[in-house]
Amino acid sequence: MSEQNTFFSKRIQEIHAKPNGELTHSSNSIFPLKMSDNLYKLHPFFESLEYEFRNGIGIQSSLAFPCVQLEMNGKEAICDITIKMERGFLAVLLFDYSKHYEHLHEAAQEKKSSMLSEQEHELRLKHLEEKKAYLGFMRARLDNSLIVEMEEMVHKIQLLKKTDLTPEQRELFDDVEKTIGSFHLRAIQIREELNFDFDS
Amino acid sequence: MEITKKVVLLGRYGVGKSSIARRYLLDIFEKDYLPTLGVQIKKKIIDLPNGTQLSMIIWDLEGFASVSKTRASYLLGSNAFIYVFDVSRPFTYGGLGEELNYMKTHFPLVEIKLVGNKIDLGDTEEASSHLKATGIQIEHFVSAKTGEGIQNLFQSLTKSLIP
Repeated sequence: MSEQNTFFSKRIQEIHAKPNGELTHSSNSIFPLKMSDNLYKLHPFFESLEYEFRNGIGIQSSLAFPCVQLEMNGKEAICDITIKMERGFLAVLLFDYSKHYEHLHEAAQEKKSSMLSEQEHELRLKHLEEKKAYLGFMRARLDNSLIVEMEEMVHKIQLLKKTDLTPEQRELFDDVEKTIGSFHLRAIQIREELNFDFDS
Repeated sequence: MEITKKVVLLGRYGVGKSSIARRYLLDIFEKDYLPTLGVQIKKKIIDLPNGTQLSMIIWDLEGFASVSKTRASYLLGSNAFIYVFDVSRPFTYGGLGEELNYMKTHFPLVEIKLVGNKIDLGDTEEASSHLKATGIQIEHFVSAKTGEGIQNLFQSLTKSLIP
């Protein structure tokens, strides 16, 4: 029983302070405090809540702050903090859960890594899907808007060339046919290049 | 004279809240920094031009799915929220409209800064246009890694906090 008392008493610290921060009691089991210390100067945690503690704002019966990383008078600990507003004084209870939280830290790191990998995988899949859709759209545009159109133009030129033409007109149509032919070939090459996976 | 202001860093897991705090307070960046559990509280004293000092106390909270799910005691007495999202992960700013509404409704007196972090990973165009379409203008895009925009963010915050 006495061992149990020692075990818990080393991990729980009770501090009493007046609303102005003046300490009236500290069990000093976790952090060594002096009665001349002021609660609001001990750590930014208390300083940032001074107005609320002085005026009892936002505190009904008690307030709980789990997992606060504290450093006071040269000692560090990860504590759960409970603050009770008593008649004329504040009762602050610190529970030292450093070991428990340090273990959780490793678990949290693993969780964060797996969560980020999952999101990375989802983004990669989304990227691949969007790329596939875009390439499909580009191929269709090349096929319908350029390649087929050019093939039709070549066909029309060939029909025109079967009519009575002057040698100059024939030469001009030959040039146009050749130019369209080279554009047609280039469009087909671009379409083939779109099938190539640049990411692989 | 010293004025104390409580600033809370909010946002989802892995958006870089702690990295922003560390860049501002210590001017360092650690790629493999451990995720925050619970809350880390740090303080910075800022000398103001009128001779007073601003004690900016930064509460760096662990990531969460939504502000409404954050423990109320952590937010008690806040003067400002810095809501951080990751510009490279749309998931982290997808629900920003609802988050902003919640903060404005439940904390009407608290100054709110919306911050897009990790601009070193890509441009801000996608996040900007997505948020603009939902009526949200982002004032601060930063990189905790390179330090870009961090000083601006906190200077602007300081100006908003002093009377």
